Amino acid sequence: MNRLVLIGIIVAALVLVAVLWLIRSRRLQERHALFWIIGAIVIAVLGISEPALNAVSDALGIAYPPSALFLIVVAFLGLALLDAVITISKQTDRIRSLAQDVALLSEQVHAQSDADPHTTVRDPSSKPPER
Amino acid sequence: MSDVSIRSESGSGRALRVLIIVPAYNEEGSVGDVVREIREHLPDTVPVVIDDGSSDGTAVEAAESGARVVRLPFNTGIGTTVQTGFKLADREGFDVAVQVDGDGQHPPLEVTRLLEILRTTDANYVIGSRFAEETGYRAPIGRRGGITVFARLVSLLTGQQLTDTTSGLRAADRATIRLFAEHYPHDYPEVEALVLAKRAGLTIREVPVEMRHREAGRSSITPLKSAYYMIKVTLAVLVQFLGRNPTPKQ
Repeated sequence: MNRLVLIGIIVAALVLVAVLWLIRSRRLQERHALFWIIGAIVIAVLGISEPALNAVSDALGIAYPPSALFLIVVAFLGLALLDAVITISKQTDRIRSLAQDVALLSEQVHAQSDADPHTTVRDPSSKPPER
Repeated sequence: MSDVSIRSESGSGRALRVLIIVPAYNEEGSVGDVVREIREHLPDTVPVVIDDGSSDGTAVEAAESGARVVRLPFNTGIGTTVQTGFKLADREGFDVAVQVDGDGQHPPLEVTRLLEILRTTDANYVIGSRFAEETGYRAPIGRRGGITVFARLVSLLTGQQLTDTTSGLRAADRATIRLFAEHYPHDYPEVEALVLAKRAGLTIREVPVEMRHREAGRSSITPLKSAYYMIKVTLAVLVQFLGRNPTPKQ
C-alpha cells in the first residue's frame, strides 16, 4: 500500500464522517446525504483499488485509468451542482409565491384593523395588528 | 372593499369592476401623482400600488394619495410585482386589471381607450402601443431598435402583428387575470407575457396611446443591461414557445 492510497482512504473517511455529522446535526437532508455517501464510497473504492479502476477505464475505453477517475469525479460534481441549482430554482419560486401571499394578506389585515382601509398601511412593519 | 365600477355603455348595464395595478420600486417622487391622476380621471376604478420592497417613502406616498398599498417584503422584480396585482384581482373577483407604470409615463385617460376595446371587442388582453400609429412619443434610439426586434420576434412566434411588445400599459380581462395569477414571467415580463397569453388561446389587441416622458426616477434599463435584456428575453420567449401550453385555471 503506497502513500497515495493511504491519503485516499483518509480523505474518503473524512468525507463520510463529515456527511454523517451533517445529517446528525440536521444540516443535510437524507436525500442529499445518500447521494454524497454513495459518491464518496464509489470514488474511494476506485481511488484505492487499482483493479476496480482498471476495469472501469477499460469499460469506458479510456487508456489512462486515472483519467477515468477524474471523469467520474467531474460527473459526480456536475450532478451534485445540477441538483443544487434545481433545488434553488424551486425554493426561489416558493419564496416568491410566499412573498406575494404575505403582501396580499398583510394588506387585508391592515385594511380590517382600521375603519378607513385606504389610510392604514402607513408602515406595517412598525405597527402590530390590532385586535 | 367598496364596489367601485365603470358604467358599461354597451347597454347591458353591468358594471365592470376595474383594478389599476401600479407597480412601484423607489418611486416616491411620482407614485403619489400617478395615483391622484388615476383617482381624478378614473374615479370608478380601484388603484392599488404594489410596492416592490422600496427603501424610500413609496408606500407612504401611495397610501397618502389614497391608493390601496400592497407591500412585498423584499425586492422581487417587476414580473413578480405585477403578478401580485393579478393575484389580488383574481382573488377579489375584479373583471378587469389594468397595469400602468409607477413613473407617470402613462396618462390615465389613455386607460379608458383600453377599457373601451376590452368592452366592445373580443379582446382578452389589450396593449397600449406607442407605435400602432404616429403618436408624440419617441423612444431613445437604442431602445427603438430593441423594441423593433422584439416586435418582429413576437409577431413571428404568435402569428399576430404587434408593434409595441415592451409597453407597460395593458388591460386584462377575467380569463387573462386567471392565467397571469397562475403563470407570469419573472423578470422583463412584458414580451414573454404576450407569448404566454397568445399560447393560452387569448385574444390580444393593440390600441394606439400617447405616452409622456418620465416624471421622476430613472428607467430600470441601462445600456449595460440592454444586452442582457435582449438575450434573456429572446431566450425566454423561445423557451416558452417550446414549452407546454399554459391554460388558465377554471
